[in-house]
Amino acid sequence: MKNKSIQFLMFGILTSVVVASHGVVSYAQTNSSMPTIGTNTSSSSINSTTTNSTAIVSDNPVVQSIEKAIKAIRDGDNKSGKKSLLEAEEALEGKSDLVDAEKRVEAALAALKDGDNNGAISHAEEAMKKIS
Amino acid sequence: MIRNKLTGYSLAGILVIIAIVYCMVANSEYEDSVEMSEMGIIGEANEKQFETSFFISAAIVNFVLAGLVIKSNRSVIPYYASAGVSAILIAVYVASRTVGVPVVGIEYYIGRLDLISKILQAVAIVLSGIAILSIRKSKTLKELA
Repeated sequence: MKNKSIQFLMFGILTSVVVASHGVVSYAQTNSSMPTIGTNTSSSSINSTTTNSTAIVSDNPVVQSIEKAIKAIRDGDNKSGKKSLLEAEEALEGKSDLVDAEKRVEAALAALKDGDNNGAISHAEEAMKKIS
Repeated sequence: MIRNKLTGYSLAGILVIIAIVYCMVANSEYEDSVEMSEMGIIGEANEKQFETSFFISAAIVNFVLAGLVIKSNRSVIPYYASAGVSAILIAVYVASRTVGVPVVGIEYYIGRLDLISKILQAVAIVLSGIAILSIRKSKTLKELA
């Protein structure tokens, strides 16, 4: 009887791991876009944030680097996107008043490495908000 | 007896998988650390090196615990240790995503490997609990006999 419960448990674990490995991308995407939009769905939030980020014009070189990164990621050029995010990270390092923005850039880099482009864009946009 | 062994082997297998996941995460952090160092982002590189050391330590602890669980002969200590270590690692992860942890601070991204390891750690706690109860029960029955 107990052996059967353990077998069921093991089956449950495998299922959870498979579901987690496939579902986490969409979770991160929805989660990170929620503060931007509020009640909208994740797909519409991406569209809305697209409009927001292109509307931002800043003289701040860090913001410009992040904007460049977002544009590159949207265009599918993840290598350039990563490079721009690293530049932003370098510029933000050691600035105690911008720690939150730095952490968002790090999150964007981590998301990009995980292949979660939408998550990377959302975190990058959050970083811009923290700076401006 | 067979049930205890099955639980023990399942737990050991899960602990080994968790250790492998931690090795993968450590490798990823190490790559990031090298990249950051090359770019001159020293603060972040140091943070990544700390994370690499932490994940390697967690992997070693999990490998050791898997060995202890397999070798344990009706002892509950390895199971308590497995549950405790898994609970601490989950708590550290939750803290790193909410209130922040020393050296690293708050991290905002929840990665795939993170979720997989946390699910497996939760299962390791459950299996440890089942094993502890089962061993205690069999010991009590033996004493009564």
